[in-house]
Amino acid sequence: MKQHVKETDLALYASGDLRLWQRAAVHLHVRQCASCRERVEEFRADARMLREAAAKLPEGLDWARLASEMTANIHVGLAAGECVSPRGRAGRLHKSIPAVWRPVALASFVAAMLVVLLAGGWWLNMPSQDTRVLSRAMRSIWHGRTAIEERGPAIEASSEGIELRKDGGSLGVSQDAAQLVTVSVSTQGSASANYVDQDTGQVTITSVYAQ
Amino acid sequence: MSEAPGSTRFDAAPLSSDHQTRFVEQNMRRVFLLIYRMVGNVADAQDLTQEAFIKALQRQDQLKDLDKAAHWLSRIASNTAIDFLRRSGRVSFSDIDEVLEPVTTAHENNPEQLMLRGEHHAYLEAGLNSLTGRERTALLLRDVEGLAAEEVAAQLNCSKATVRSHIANARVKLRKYLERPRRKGQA
Repeated sequence: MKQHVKETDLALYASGDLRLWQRAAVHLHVRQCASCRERVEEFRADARMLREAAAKLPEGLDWARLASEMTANIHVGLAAGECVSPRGRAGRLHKSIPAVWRPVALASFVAAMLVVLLAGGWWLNMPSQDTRVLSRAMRSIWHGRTAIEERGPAIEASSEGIELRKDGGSLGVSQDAAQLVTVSVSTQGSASANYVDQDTGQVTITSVYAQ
Repeated sequence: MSEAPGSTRFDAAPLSSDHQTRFVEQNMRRVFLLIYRMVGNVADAQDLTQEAFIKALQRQDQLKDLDKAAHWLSRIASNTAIDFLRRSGRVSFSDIDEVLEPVTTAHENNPEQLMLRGEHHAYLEAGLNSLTGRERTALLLRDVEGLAAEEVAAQLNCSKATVRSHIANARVKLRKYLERPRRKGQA
């Protein structure tokens, strides 16, 4: 009898995992060698036993309790995944809009984004002094005060005349016994008021320009 | 396995809650046992089984062939267990020459004691745990899950020669482990 086949080769031969040329050589030997043939059968029996054992649960394990616990945890895990998944959120939002309105919703969204971009660009291109003034004005509006009170140089027109206020001081042109008829304010920083004297009918036009 | 692989069919649309529950129920025992044999303890197997099902149900749109749902799930389960073993440093499939310690060598798993108590399956389980992580994983995928050596290699991300070596070593070591009490009894 020739030398026996290596155990590792017999182990692979038992399941047909040996390379073709090795398989043929081992096959010839095993046919003639009872010892190696028995070893091959033992490897096959081990594989069968392993399959049977692997299908059995560990000793003392309460499978019903464990299975229900795992099932509940899987559902919780899936729900948690839905909450944090961006794809899931987008999907739900998409589905909540009727199909007919989806193009309109998309167009509105694009338009809103364009407005935001344009406003952002305009703001960034403004001189820093102007943005500060505008910021103060917006804060004033937010807090319920009149914007003109907070805007540094301020012009106020009333029946008494026109007054320019800046840094706590003021300079005004008063109109006694006159009735205010019209007031116009330009965006270039000027104000104009037309007064009519009730006794004489004289019209006085006062214009103030803030520099 | 004693339980037939899950027959729940996936559709293009996501599974309803009832379908998900049925899919989980049909496959849970099989997946749990596969992972349990790979990692060697119930607590880790429980966590990894849950993780595997959550991954599978979140990726159900990746399943192309509906008839291979059970096999696809097994692949996710074994990959989840392999990742865990890698993270915990208990197994590495990249280097065949690396030597890793067996998962358990506890006194209570002593072969003689287990045989005296007649705990045949516990004894076999101890034999399985005497293998290194990569040997045990390759053997389970080949002999229990019935994957071909090529498929095992693909799943473990290593060469077919490496897988063959793991499988052969595992079978020889397990056989020798199972023979130990017999030799003692004959002495």
